[in-house]
Amino acid sequence: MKKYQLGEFEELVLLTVGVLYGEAYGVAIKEEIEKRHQRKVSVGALQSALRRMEEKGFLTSEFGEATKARGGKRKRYFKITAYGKKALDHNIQTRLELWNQIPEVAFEFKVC
Amino acid sequence: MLKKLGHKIFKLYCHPDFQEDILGDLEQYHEWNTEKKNLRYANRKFFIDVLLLFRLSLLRNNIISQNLIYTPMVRNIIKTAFRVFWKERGYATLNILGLTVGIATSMLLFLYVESEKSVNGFHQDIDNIYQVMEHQTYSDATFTYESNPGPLSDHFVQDMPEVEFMAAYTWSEERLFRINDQNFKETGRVASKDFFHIFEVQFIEGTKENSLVRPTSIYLSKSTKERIFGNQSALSKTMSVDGWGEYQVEGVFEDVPKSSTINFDFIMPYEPWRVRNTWLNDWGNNGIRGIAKLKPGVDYRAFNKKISTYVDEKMGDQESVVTIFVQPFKDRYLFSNYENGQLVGGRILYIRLFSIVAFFILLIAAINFMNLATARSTKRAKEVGVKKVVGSTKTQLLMQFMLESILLALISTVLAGLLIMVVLAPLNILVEKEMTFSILQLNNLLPLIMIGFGVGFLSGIYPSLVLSGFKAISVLKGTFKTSAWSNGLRKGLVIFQFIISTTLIISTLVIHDQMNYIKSKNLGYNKENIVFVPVEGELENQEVRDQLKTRILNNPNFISATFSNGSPLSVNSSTSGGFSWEGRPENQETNFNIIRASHGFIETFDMEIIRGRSFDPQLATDTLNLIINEQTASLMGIEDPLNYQATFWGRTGRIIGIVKDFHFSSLHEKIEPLIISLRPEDSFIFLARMTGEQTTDNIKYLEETLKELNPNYPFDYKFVDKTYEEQYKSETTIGILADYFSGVAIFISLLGLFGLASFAAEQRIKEIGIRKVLGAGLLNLILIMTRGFLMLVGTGFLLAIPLGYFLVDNWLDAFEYRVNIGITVFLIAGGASLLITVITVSYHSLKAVYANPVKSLRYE
Repeated sequence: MKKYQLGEFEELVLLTVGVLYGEAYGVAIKEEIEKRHQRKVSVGALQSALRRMEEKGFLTSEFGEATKARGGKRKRYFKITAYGKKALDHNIQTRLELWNQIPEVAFEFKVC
Repeated sequence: MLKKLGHKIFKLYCHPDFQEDILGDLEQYHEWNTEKKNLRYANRKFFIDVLLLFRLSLLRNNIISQNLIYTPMVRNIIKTAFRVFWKERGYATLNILGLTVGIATSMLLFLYVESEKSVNGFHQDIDNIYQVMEHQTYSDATFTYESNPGPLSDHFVQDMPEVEFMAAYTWSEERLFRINDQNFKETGRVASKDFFHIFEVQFIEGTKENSLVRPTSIYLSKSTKERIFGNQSALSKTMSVDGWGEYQVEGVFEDVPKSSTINFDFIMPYEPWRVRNTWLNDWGNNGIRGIAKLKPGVDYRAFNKKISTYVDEKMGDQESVVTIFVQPFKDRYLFSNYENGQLVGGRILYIRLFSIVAFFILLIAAINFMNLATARSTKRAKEVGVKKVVGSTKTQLLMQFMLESILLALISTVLAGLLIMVVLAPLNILVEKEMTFSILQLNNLLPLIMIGFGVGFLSGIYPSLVLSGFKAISVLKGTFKTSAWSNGLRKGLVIFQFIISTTLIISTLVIHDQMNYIKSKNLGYNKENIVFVPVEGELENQEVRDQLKTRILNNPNFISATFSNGSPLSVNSSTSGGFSWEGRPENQETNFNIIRASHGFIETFDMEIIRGRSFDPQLATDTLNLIINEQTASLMGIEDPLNYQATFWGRTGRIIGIVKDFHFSSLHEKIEPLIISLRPEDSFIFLARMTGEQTTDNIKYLEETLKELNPNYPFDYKFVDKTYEEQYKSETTIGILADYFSGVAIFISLLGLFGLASFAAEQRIKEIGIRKVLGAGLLNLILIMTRGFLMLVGTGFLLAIPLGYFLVDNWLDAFEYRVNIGITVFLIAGGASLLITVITVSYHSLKAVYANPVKSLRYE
């Protein structure tokens, strides 16, 4: 875990960036998360998570074309890097390992 | 509007790289929100989002994000520092040990000084509280007392608009309280009604309003209340005070802190006491103490001028020797010594001395650091050279070495903090304080860290400058040598260290000499094996007293017994006009000390009657007669005072004996004139001399006898010689503290010497090798190795002689009876410091000398 430090919210953002491949910019990511998970995401939390992960190397970003909307400001599109994928893999792998090791009995919720 | 403001704020803090796209996002939301709701909502949302975007990872470059403090460079320096400490762990240990002990000692001294300064400081209104004092001026001298005339407090408040409150209070007294047949002996005072308006105590029950007004009210401290009444409320409970009747508890207050010059566990009202002691109404007495609160803004010096003739005016035609003055209560503890009417200091002298010592001990530790660092600078010269070649600037190197020294000092500081916590408990017992220390407390931590930083910084400056100033070219070429100047400075600093530590040793030795002198001094009477108990309860009855004396003397282990108003250690009454003889000069104003004794007094104390006789139990007329000491005899100015007629306190009789002068006040003062009068009615203590064998049995016998005769009072005995030693408690404490200080100082100095010696041995290993090959003897080699150090220590010692002499001579001046500073003190101090130097230095010298020359020379 230490190798790829990825918080719960960060993981969510990272996955969403993957899902929105090519269209992953701030507003879109926020919308997506809010839609899928029925949770409120503040702009601040999202943006700081994005920049943090960019600094760690999980994400890269580039500017899109300027349009008339948005006050003429360009969008910044995020993409997962190979390293970011590794981090995701690692995260999912460890979860899966744990999941697989849970004995059957643990899930037998019989009312006695 | 709100949106514009949000825009501005955002641009203010956000990193320029992120501004465009995040603002774009915000704009997009803004557009949506305007469509969905309205513009006002969208603006508000925009603004809130801007505030929520204030995140560390989105900020402009700042100190934290740029990591200015913990840069790779700093990381490297810290890493190097630890590697150097590890590589040269011997030296690092010496340094850390020295600094730790030094910092701990000076911090402890700091705590001690602070706690001394805080005595009486618990009063909120301390600046307006004053102790009322008086000078008594006689033709030959002025004495200063903490007491004043009985009527003063009432009149003062009326006559002086500056005085807000004034209260009279008595000395500490023991009283026996009885409730439900249980007896409690407690210590407290009598005080007049405004006392609690001046002396601040926290009331738990009752209030200070109208306190001490009712004549049968009594006020108890919390711990006394708990002793007597347990946990229940004591308010308006009744208890009887032996000899005074029934009293009701009207108040319970938090215990008076130890750091108070006035202590008490109970306070009783003044009125009944005054009614019983009618002499209190006379302006001529000086039997009461006073504490006053002046109105805010009153200049007490001007006030003192105004009141200087106050008692004279009150006395009218009678001449008074008394001048009243007030002293700020906060100064009372530290500034207590008056000499001929002038304030000459007191404990403040010790406080100043301790502060200086603390500073010097720290200095010695810092010098160690400097010396070791510069001495070993050659070892690090190459490092400096390479770093400079690679492009390091002088400032960077300076930074590196400063950081190293501060790091070392901080490590020592932490260790010192732990050390302090360990030794504080025993120290508290020694100096009878309640000092607390915890590194977790800010007001303890801050001074500690400041000391640590200060020491690290100051001791680091010089070595850092030297090290960072090396020339890369000469260092790397190998033609580098430490400068003669820096060698000279090092020697100078070592000499300085030893001046200080030898001075401390000299002082310690002299203090011990004086204390031994005090303990063994022939006082003119025999203070050994005398036990004494207070006269109280049934013993206030003359018949019971006689019974006690007879029964005690029935036991062959008791040689003699007597009653008196006090032991010779505490002669606390005196008279000027109360003693007269035919032909006493009219204008002679001399203070005569008084002992009021009963039969057997001279014998119990083994005093020597040089002329005449002692009091004779067979002669009833002896109650009129007096015994005087030599001082009085010579003062009377009569050729033969024996059998001369004299009057003392209304009784005219003859002088029947002259006793050899004996010390009845502390050795700080001269023996003064004294008269001994036979007044068995004034018996306050019972004294008995024992043979010195079976002391425990004798005390038991005394206890049993007292239990029968005076069953209500607990047995409470003391020995005269122990009481005598207690008089010099502060000097004894100073002596012990001085032991520790000089021990610490010499220890730190030796640590430094040890380090330098090992360095010297390392450097001269080849020289020793060559000398050995050429046939030098062992002794010769050791001499060569230790000679230099002995010179330094010797020089330090020689310089310490005048300094030490001056210091201790000053201290001894406070004693009227003192030792002379003999040459032996200096011989011992010098011999000791040279001897330990040899031992310290020779460890490394011997190692170098015994080394096989083949090993040290084979690479040449």
